[in-house]
Amino acid sequence: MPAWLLFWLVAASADTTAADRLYAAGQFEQAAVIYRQLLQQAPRDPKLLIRLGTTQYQLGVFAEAEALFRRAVSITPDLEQAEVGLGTSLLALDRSREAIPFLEKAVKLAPADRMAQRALGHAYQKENEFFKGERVLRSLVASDGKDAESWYYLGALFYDNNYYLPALEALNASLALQPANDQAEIYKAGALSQLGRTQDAAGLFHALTIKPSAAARPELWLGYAQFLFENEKQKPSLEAINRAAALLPDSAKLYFWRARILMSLDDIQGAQADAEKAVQLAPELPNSRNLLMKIYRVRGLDRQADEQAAWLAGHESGKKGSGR
Amino acid sequence: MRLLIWLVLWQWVALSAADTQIRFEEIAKKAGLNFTLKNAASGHYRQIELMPGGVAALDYNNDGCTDIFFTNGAAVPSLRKTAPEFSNRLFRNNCDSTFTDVTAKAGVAGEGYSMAAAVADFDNDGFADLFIAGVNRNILYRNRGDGTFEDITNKAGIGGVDPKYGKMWSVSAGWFDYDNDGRLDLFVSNYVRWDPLKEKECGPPDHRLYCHPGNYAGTPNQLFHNNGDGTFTDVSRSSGIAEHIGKGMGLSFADFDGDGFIDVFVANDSIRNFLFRNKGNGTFEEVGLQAGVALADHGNAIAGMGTDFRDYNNDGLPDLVVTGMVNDTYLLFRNRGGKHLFEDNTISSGLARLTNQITGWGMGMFDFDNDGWKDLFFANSHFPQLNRYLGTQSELANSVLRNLGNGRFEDASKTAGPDFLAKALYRGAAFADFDNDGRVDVVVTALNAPAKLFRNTTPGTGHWLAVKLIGGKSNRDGLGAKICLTLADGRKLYNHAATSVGYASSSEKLVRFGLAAQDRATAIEVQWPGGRTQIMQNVAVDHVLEIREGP
Repeated sequence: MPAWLLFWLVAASADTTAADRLYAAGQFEQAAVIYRQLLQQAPRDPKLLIRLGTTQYQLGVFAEAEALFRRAVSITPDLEQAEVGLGTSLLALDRSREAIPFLEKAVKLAPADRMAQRALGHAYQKENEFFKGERVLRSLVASDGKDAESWYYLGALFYDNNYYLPALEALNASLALQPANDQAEIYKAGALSQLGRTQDAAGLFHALTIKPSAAARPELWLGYAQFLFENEKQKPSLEAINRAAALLPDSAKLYFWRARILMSLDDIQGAQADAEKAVQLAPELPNSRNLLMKIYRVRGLDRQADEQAAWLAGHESGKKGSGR
Repeated sequence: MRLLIWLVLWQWVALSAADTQIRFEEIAKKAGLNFTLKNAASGHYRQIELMPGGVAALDYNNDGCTDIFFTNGAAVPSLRKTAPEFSNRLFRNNCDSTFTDVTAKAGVAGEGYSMAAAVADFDNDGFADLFIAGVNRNILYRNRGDGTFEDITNKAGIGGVDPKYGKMWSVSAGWFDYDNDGRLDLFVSNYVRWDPLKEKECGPPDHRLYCHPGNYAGTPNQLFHNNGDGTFTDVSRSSGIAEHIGKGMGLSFADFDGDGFIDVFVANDSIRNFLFRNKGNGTFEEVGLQAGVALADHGNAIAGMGTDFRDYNNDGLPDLVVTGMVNDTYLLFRNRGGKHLFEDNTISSGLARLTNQITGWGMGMFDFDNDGWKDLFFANSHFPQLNRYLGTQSELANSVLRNLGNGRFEDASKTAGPDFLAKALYRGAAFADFDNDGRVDVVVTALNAPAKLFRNTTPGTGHWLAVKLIGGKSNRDGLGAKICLTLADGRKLYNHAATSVGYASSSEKLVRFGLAAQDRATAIEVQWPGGRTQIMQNVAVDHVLEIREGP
């Protein structure tokens, strides 16, 4: 449970004592009933909106939480809790780009609020705003080395930008504080692999594949498949990518990787079908088109290959980045 | 018969696979090769600081000993060589493992912020001429044949000022005869549009970084046709080359499709690479994507830097290797022949694993242990400011990867001798047998550090043969000529004459072959540019063989 959801002791115009007690006891549904009743009497009370928004967030009803926080923000533009609530709800809805301005404002309004900073760092990480994210998250872990969540986001940020050594250090710091984080371990296995620590990566990947909570994650199997493929173990790689596909059936990325693996196994027909499916699912991504173009060429389907090449020629496939 | 075949095969495999340990000894200081590459870095993180400097291996005085030319930076932002420390330098090989600085006498100190050197006898007079590519100034030096050079840039019309773009920032250049008229033409790769007074700021405020090339607009490459009278015509547009806007770095030449016309590969920085297929009518089509060399199989462009275009697996088809940045992996594209398609063999060759955590600039595909298989040399270093994120220092050791003859390479760097482990910000590399002992040596530049001369001291190397081509109808250097060498066991080795190797650099023009235990070549077939073929039978080895183009 994120720290900020433990509740704000802010005064509301109505008597929220009973609902607050229920909330504090983790009885969110009951608390929500009372907050709703109170809101009917005072529909523009921002503190009530925040309370109900927070409760809905706890219940995982993020869309309603967003709407409630948004109302609170419109009524009282400079209320930090409303900004944080809205930003965090948007983050939960996987709309991190939209979350960033609200979280930036929250941090501006309350610079000491670590929860707001962490949420902002998380949003930057998800949007790969590298330098901003690095600044916020480094500051958080520098001021509190036991902030496992910030270490994790920092590790993920480094990982996503291919800085595997600092990623590994941050992930290790996070895992030492909070071992039960499958995604952190998956990142760690990937970082070990990229750093050429093949044995360590193999050991960790294997351990994760037999851990039920991790094995339920398609990203584990995708990472494992990539690791095996890059170490020229194509058949086990195919098995791993099939496990991923079983968990996430309509992923362009998985089809792309399976096409690569099949191509390396000389199953050109299978590779073509998967690459075509990947292009169909995500026509805007160049990677699958490049692979499909090569497959068509191998199969002598020159017209189709030329079509893909023409698309790629018009697409800027360059790497993005600010500095290096 | 079966027994004979078995014995021959056994002999070849046994000798090829023998543990010939590639070794180098660094001898620059001892040899008097005293050069430090200056990039004029001053804490402003200007893009050009990253990019120097090319180096060339040439025999400018035809004494049979290969000399060395270094390009150098200049003051910034003036981009002028305001002090002797910025001078380009020519070192004469004294043929006794020492060198003498002859820059002043030769008159090649240069102007502007230089990047690359390209060597060839463009006027077919028997003396190696020198083209310097740079940020603000390109120079063509004609070799007078008396130990001095003449700057004929303006007279030749080869300064590179484009009517639309002005003087572009040139990073590499190379000579080839694209129309097989017997005169060498010049290809110049250009990087990005850049102004020393308008450098952007990149990276976090507390740790400035060099800007990613995505922050700059690209530029087209240039092609200059040699008119045969000491002048050149800019045919960049009419040839189709200028249609393609890139961020050009290293370039390499080969006739990849076997049609008798030399094609051009340009490694681009962080956008897709270009492969210009020579159509044989004075025009080129860019086929990098269709041929499968524009992008790696993973579909991402890499920060392409150095490149070489040679046959690593002795199947008669030139293959491509490209260096890149950390996490890119260097790329190896195997030429499958047929319909112009290359296969990305980066993983299956072992390159992915061996190069994923390094950043490479200069490179070359040469047979360092003379076992019949071309090995790989890489001049490495990370971008200087990335140490904070990579968690490692930017200076790296160079790499030498031994070709195992089965499509795979192994890292032979750690056992290549203590000198080889020295770390620096390495850049350009040029390859030649500087001491004429039959083993290919390497000269490497390093940013703000002394250049290194790695003398090949590999023990127990095999026999060798170096072919010196002298063109008649073809260009005098024979650049573009393809050579097939047949051994007693029937095996064939392939190479072609090309001096544009690696990054911004130029290597010796001799065409080399490592022969393992084979002490004779049954036949040597030279296919000169334009298709004329010449065959020599029963050739002795372990020497430089001069082949003059027949009538």
